Amino acid sequence: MIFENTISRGSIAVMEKMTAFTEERHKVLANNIANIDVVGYKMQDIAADKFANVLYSAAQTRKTRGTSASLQLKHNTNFSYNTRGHLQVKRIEMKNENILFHDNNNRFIEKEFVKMSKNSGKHRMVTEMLRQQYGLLQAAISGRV
Amino acid sequence: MLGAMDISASGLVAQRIRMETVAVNIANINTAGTLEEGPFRRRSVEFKAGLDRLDRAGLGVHVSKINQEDDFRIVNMPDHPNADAHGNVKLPAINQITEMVNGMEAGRAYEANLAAMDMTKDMFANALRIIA
Repeated sequence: MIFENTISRGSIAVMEKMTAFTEERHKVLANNIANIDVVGYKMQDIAADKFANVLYSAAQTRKTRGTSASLQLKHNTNFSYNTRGHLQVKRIEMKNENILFHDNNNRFIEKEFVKMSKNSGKHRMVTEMLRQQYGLLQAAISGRV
Repeated sequence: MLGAMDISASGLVAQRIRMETVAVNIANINTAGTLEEGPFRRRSVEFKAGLDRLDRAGLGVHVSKINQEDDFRIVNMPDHPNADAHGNVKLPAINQITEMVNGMEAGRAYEANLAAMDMTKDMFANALRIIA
């Protein structure tokens, strides 16, 4: 009970959800890059900004229910958790803008790389913060600084 | 700061499209085409500020149009299937030297955008070191 409280409450829960989300997004972007030469392929992405909002409002509602409440994401069409507790995200097809190829889709590999770079930057940042939190926990448990 | 990477990416995309038009022009330097359609028309790109057509903020660049120019040069080749009564054939008005210089410019601009993106990534990594 004590151990579950330390790792599933507080900021660690929020950061773990963010880590799972960035990993899912990485998969989708890598899939885009792999399929860049496939005729008729439409670029996909997942709603990253919406996830940030959902996470934020979940953290706010948790605050109102007391510090021992668990973090619960509101149900919506884009994100859900399956029975095994894994994050499921809905893949959205990108709108076409500007000049299109012959199959009426557009593909900019540089933009996909930049999205991937930003996503992995976020992932690294969140992982660093998680590492620090676990380091604090360890210091508290071991009783030494 | 992460918006700067989008701006650099739009620069990369625009320069790459420009490079593609250069390649198409060089490849088709002697394409006479058919008598009905006429010769290959030289392509050129138009850049506009903004990440795409609907962006009003004007940060970044995008290709707003790929022009096809109606200019041509006349060369006397009586044996060509497209030769008219005087033996003249219409060929595209593409100058190889001009295209090569455009290509070099596009390549350097691509490198410059990449360098800008590297600097943005370094800045972000340095900022990350505050907590790490």
